[in-house]
Amino acid sequence: MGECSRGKRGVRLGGHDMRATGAGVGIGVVIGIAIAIVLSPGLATAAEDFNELRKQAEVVKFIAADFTQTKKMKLLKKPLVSKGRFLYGAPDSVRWEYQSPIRTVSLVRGGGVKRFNLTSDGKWHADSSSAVEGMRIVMEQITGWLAGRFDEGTLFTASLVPGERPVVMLSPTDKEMARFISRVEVRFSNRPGVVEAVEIFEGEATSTLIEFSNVRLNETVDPKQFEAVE
Amino acid sequence: MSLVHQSRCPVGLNWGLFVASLFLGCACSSPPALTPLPVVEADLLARSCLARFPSGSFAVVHAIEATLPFGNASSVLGVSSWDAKSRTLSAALLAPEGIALFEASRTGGGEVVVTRALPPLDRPGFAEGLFEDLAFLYFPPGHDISVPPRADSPEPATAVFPAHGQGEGSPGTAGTAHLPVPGRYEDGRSVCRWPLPDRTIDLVPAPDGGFAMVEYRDSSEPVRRFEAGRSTSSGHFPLSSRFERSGPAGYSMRFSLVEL
Repeated sequence: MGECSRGKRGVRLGGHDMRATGAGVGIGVVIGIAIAIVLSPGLATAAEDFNELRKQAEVVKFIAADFTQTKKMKLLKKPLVSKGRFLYGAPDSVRWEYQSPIRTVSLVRGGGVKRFNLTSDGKWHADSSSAVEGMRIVMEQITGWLAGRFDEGTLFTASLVPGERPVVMLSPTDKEMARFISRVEVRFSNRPGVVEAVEIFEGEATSTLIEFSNVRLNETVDPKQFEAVE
Repeated sequence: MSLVHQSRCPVGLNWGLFVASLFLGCACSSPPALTPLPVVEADLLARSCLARFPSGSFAVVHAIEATLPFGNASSVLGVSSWDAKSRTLSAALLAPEGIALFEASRTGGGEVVVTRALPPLDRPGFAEGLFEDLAFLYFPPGHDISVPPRADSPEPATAVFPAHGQGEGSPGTAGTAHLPVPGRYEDGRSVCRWPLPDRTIDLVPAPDGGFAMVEYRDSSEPVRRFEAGRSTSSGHFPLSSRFERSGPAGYSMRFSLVEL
């Protein structure tokens, strides 16, 4: 996990300038939180205990899920809906893919992140924006979440709201992170171990809701899915 | 659709070549020459050109393939809204993951208010430049009142003109706009030209229903160019289009219409 320090150009995490990659950090958080969420199948049955969550996360080897993302903001006349799919392979492989309205694929493996965009020429092109570097930085943080260590992060503090439908609340502790994410809510369904949705608030009027469906655990996943876009 | 650039100088799109040409004294001092059109044809063309700029208030969402300043290339979602009468604009750029990377608005008087700008989109001048570009895309050049011009008119003429004959806005009620100077390039293509005090803007209709717009400043090298393919059934919004702004901080964006 990276060490946070503050310099003239902004917060540095693990030796990286977070200010220069703020957009990527935000993007990484979205992906990372979703990963961590789906990776927490036992949370609903251990809603009082983060330690138990850590143990239960260890049994998950593969995850596949579809997701629907709904963006709300004042400027949008109606919510903007995106759809995609998500794959996870333990210990550190992720494929986060948007299928509409634009096609992008983020591949995470061994701490490295690559992102590809399908462009109008029908070809996949590597994304060269700073967002990708930001994602890599956040993935360092997310490694802890992958292991169920919600309560050990340096960017967020986590609290658990127990109940039939437990909620994990993540609040940014880092100033730079707080600039673009005010809080995150991770909502579990009443079916033990199944995450229903995650909602990321960028302010009271702007939010991103990611709802998971068709979640499959420990099914066989072709390793190539984590290596190449096609 | 091909670009409308009709440079008479041996200068390509490359900025370095462009700068070099200035030092070499190339006489790149004006956009391509026009020849006048007959009055009836000119009037129809002018109306057709102004109809490209819908009146009323709109909000659109685009998928954008962006080659941004400072060497970044990425895909984002763009939300823009505008009001043709007040010439106000609002815009947001969203990462595919939903995070708002940039959000700002510009009043009719030109005041820009940035409510959110994540690095590197928080660099000075980015917001102002973006709104200049959006104004270029959505508003007809100029907004004063005068009389119809001719192709050989040296000064920009403006007039009360029914800018729109169709669409979601208020047909024929766009109010005032600079009238374009209709004409023809040497290669025979029809063109509407707005010879404004500080720049010249050419709009060239395409046979497929699309069009191209090019802005010239002090040379025949375009500063901005916008190519639009065929439009929605209302005729206002191109389904796909491409914008390019040249210069050291230049960038290009390819738009695909997602939502109206």
